[in-house]
Amino acid sequence: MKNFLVTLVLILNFLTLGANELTLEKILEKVDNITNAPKDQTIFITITLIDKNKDQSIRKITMYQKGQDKRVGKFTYPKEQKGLGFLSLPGNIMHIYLPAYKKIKNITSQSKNGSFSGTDFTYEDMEMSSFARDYTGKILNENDSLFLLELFPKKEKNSFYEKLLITVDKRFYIPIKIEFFEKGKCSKILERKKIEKIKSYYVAKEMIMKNIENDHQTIMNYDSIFFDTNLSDDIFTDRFLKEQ
Amino acid sequence: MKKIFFLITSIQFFFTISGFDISSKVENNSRLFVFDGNIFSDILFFEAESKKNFNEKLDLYFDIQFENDLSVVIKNIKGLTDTENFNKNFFKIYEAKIFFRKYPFDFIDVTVGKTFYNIGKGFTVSPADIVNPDDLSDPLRMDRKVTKGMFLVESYFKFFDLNIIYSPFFVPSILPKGYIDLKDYFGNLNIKDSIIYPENIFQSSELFIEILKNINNFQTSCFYGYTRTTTPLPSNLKIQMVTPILAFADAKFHFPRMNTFGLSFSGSFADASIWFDFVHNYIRDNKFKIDLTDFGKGIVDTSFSKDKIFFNFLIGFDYNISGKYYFMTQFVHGLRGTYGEENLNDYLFFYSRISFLNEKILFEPLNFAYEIVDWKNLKNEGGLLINPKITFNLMDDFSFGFSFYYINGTERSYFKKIEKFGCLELTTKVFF
Repeated sequence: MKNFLVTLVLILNFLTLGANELTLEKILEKVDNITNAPKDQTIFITITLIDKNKDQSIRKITMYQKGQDKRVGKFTYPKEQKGLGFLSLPGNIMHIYLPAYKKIKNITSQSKNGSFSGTDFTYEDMEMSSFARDYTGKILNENDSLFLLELFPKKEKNSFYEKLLITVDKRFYIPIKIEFFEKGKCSKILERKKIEKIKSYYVAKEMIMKNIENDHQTIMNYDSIFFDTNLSDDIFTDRFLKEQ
Repeated sequence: MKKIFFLITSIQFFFTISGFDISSKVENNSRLFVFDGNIFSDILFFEAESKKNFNEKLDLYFDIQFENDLSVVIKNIKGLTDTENFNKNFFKIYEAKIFFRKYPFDFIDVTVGKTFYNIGKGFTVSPADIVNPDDLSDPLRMDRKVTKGMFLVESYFKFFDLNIIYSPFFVPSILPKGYIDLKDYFGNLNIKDSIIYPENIFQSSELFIEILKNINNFQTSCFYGYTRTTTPLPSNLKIQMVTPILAFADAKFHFPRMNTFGLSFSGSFADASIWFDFVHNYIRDNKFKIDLTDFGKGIVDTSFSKDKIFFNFLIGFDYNISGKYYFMTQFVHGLRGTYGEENLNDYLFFYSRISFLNEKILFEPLNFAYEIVDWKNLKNEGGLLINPKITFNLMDDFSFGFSFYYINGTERSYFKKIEKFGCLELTTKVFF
């Protein structure tokens, strides 16, 4: 009887441990659920570009996103780029609108590696994506407060990056640091800061993308953000994209 | 200049107090025509785009442009008294339109006013961009369009989009100086020419219909245009003997009706963006008469092209390497404004760009266009335009750049007609 009880306790302990230990898939799902928890978001963003001489340049953009896979952004500043916009849709579809020509252009997976308006973000970085859907990998490390994940993009993602190293804060399940790897080395580091709870959602209101190669960085600040305003599906269309 | 600045200030003030959102641009183009006697030109260009959103359904939009030619050339004493020589100003309302959003139904947007609309997926030289004629007053800016009054209905259905454009006003292309030189055809004859212009509303009206469909990451459209040629074609020619040794040519031109069908496509293939425009043209009247009665030969029927039907097409692709190197190429069979298969030349356009310092410096080392007049005689017939360029965007809303245009062509090439525009150019732009 004593042996039976010991065995039972060991089995229960093992099962409990298994239940508490999160798999990579579970972590990524949690990250996706936190990141994309709002039904929709309208974000007014100021983007500051800082070069190695500390010279600054400003961009302003209004971005709308819905669910996990729809995003549209339109530049409002500088005047030179006003009206320029992009639309990201499910299935790796990305369109940009060129107001001077009044034409909509497709962005291919290769072109997604191009700089997003001179920033250190690429079009791929601006695309909506789901970690659980688009990446595989493993948990490299874990402590009381952080997960360190190594992620490889799935083929369907058509990513330009070879891998990502992601540091996830266990309190919010928000990736607070992402290291982007190209050609075997880290090319950029994204840091998410100023995490706040707005309504019932956690948001990192500041993102800093550092380009390792040229010592350039881009700071993306959320000036204001509105959740769950029932954005119409009409916004995520070419019709809205080309509206002046 | 004072008048210009007064006008600019007044318009800006009016739009500002009326709550318009204004975006303005001042661009200065200084050119040294190194292949045409080192003539120097300096054009100041001002553009103000103003938009007011009255409510969810209604927007008002204006694009007003001024151009001031800063160069002064006086050819005679009288010229010194002519203020026009000192103030060469051009003012135009480039766009003025009312946009009705989701009106009268949710699936319809209506635009009324003076504007432009591009059908083709190709850039700058798409043969499918048939709605607006070209503004080639500056032949180095091949992407400029002449805007015109139109009524545009854009309908968004579940399975496709349908756009209908009605324009009651026929407008021809603005041609570069020397584009049509009648002396090329008539030698030293005295020439009088006239244009039979479509004046009444039935003659001048044009209609365009486009059906668009997006399939995954592919955009497709087919279109029809009931239009006219945008450059004049001969209608009648009479050659008279004034004296036994002096002849006189009376040439009449017109803009015959065209029926245009086409297809456009854009998408991606093996990591490159690709696009394709195809246009089938039917020109109603390709014949004209030459009256040689005075020479005892009666009236001769002839034509400017063998067939009434001809095709244009454009195929293009672009590619991005490491996010820093971009190149684009387009092959075009026939530029807009040229009619008849035997009159069409082929063009290969190549554009490349390398960006430095996060796009603060854009270097375009290898921009060129090669014109093919005769595939069987590539060595001796053709044209070439080379246009390297460097642009500095060192601070927000200000840029400057240097470019060089080398243009050369043989007799039957388009580039021959614009080769004197070869120049060194300094461009500065300020946005505010």
